[in-house]
Amino acid sequence: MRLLVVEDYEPVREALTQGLREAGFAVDVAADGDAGLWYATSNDYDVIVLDLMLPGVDGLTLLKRLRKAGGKSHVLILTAKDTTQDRVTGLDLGADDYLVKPFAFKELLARVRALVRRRYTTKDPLVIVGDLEIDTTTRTVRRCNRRIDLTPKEYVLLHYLAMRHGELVTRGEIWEHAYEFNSDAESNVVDVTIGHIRRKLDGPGLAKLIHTRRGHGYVLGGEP
Amino acid sequence: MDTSWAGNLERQTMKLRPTTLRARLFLGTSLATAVILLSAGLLLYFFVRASLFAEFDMGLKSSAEALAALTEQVGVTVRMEPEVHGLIDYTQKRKTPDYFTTWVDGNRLIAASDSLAGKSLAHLTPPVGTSITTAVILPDGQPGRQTTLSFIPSIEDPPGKITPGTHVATVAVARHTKDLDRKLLRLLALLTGVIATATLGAAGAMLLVVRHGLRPLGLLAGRIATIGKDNLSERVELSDAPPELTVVALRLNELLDRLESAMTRERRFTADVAHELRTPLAGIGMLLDVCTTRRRTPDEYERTLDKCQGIVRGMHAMVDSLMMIARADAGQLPVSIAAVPLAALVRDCWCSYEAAAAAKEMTSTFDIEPGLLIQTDAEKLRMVINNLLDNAVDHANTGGWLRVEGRAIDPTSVELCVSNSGSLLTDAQAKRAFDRFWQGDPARRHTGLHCGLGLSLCRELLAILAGEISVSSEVGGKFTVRVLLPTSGGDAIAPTSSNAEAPHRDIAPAPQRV
Repeated sequence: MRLLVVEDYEPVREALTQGLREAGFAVDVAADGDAGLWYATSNDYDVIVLDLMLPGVDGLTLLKRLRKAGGKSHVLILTAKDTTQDRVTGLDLGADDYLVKPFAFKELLARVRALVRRRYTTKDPLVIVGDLEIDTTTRTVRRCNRRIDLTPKEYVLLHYLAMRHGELVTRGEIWEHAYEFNSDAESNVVDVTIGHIRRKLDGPGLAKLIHTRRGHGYVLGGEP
Repeated sequence: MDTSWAGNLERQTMKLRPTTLRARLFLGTSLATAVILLSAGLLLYFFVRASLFAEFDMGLKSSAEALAALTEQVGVTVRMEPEVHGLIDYTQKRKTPDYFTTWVDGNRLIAASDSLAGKSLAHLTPPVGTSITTAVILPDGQPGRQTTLSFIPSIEDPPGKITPGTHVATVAVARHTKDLDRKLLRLLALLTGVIATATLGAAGAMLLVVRHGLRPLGLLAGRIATIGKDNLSERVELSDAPPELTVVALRLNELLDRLESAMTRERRFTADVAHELRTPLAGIGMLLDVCTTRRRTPDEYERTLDKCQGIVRGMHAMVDSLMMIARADAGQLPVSIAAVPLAALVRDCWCSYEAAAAAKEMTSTFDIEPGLLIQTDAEKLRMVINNLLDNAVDHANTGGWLRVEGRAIDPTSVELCVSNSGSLLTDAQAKRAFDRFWQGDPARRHTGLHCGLGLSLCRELLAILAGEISVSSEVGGKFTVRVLLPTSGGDAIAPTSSNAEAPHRDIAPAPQRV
């Protein structure tokens, strides 16, 4: 899952980014409203964590422009102003949730996860595809009750495929939802990572979970 | 409920206490009316009394003169005409008869009225040709007045035979004053009645007038009471107030205006302070939160702690600035004036910023008149200069320039200009730089060390030094802060002289980055 953090206060921005990356998300970062707006409209983020008080384009304007441009990302607004009006305005402009500063990082994480689930119209934090189980809260992956250790990158990719299990997912979509803006854009990086995941998931006597649709993309689970 | 109770109490005390305006007005006017009426009554009484007595005495004197005219010297004897005894006024037939006695040559009695029944009147001896009138007790024990006249009786015999003036006669006439006294008593009773009635009437009228006259005051008080503690935007209605109270209401409204704007400013300031403290606190909280989500390497912990320390330093600087501003506002910063060489002071301050300027590859120019001395508080001026240099270095573009100029513009004032390149502000935006917590370049917010208090603090400090500060921003990015200082710090001591004896303990001599 790919997130965008738009926050001008450097300590909070860095901490958020680090925490979210460690929690298994691909995170892009913007320090002001202008950059934030560019990122938000250039990519289809799963969740945007948006501070309202920003230099340049302020948070509410960014939100308004994002929605006007047809952006479907779920937006979690952060506000230091503990006024109802701010939150109401934010929600009315198309935000999906809000948090008032100061907040606990755990809460932010939980809300981000909830927004991600909503994005893929599921409510269960446990994603089950056949004999594969992904606990998105603890970020643990099991197949046939056997725990599988994945690297952060692999987890992000599998998480995305699992959220869209049974559907054809193109390489472009994988790229857009599982890789940060600054990732090394080698042409076969997605295929290589898929290969790694396959090796870890599939074992002797187990059915293939990730199917390749040559020239199109991948499907997790579903038809063999 | 509470307020009506308080209102009742107020009304009660207003009635009871003689210090209330209503009581004072009522008592004052009533007392004055009573005194005026009483004085007028007394004056009238004594005037009438004196007139009546004068008239009475005149009558007595006429009677005495009439009796004297009836006294004559025949040969060597002095006698009175016999018809005197028949005069009706002096007979006992009257209820309150008049009395007379006539003496000759000292105390030889030659005639007395019937009414005296053998007694005699008091024998006084005024000089010949004059009379005296005195109050006496008459033979019947009643009060009366007596006129005694000494005279030389007329001579009946042919002239030449007798030496005139050989005999001196004295006639005394006395008369009851009962009627007079009764008249005066009636007058007194009448006057007392009139005065009492008039006083009571006036008092009643005063009560009504005072109550009616003070009603607008009560209304005003009622309106003031409706202005809520938390809502200072309401104003006292003026339209129907009498002119005297319109002035009061007007002044009150002006006071409310000032109070409201001060409250608004204060609230905004408090909110700003809260926000500015909350932001770094949120930063620290977030850093620690994320850091403690898992076990980390010592390096990672160290990095987090370093960041937290940086934020705490910034918060410290901000709180210090706030304290300084608050104390400057309250006039609690002591001032010590000494001769300060401007060029040396600027050079001294520049040491702290030279490295930062070099890192930004800035060109810095210093053009300060050599030997320029200012009588001022060196530490406060140092804080101002530190702030200006800090801002200039921080806000200038990389590879830009900084220029410091100092010169005497006239014998009494010195101008110090600090300019830098790379300003993105319009002139109007630059003027807002003195607002507390206003940060001209939002992209630089939250660097942890600048929170928008610097210029505000400079202005407070310069106000203490009797100086002025202004900013301007020109097209092309030249941002200039211009400081005007008096060369003699004489004026500077005045506003804080009451605190001059306070020790200099709290001024941080270190450069303040705010």
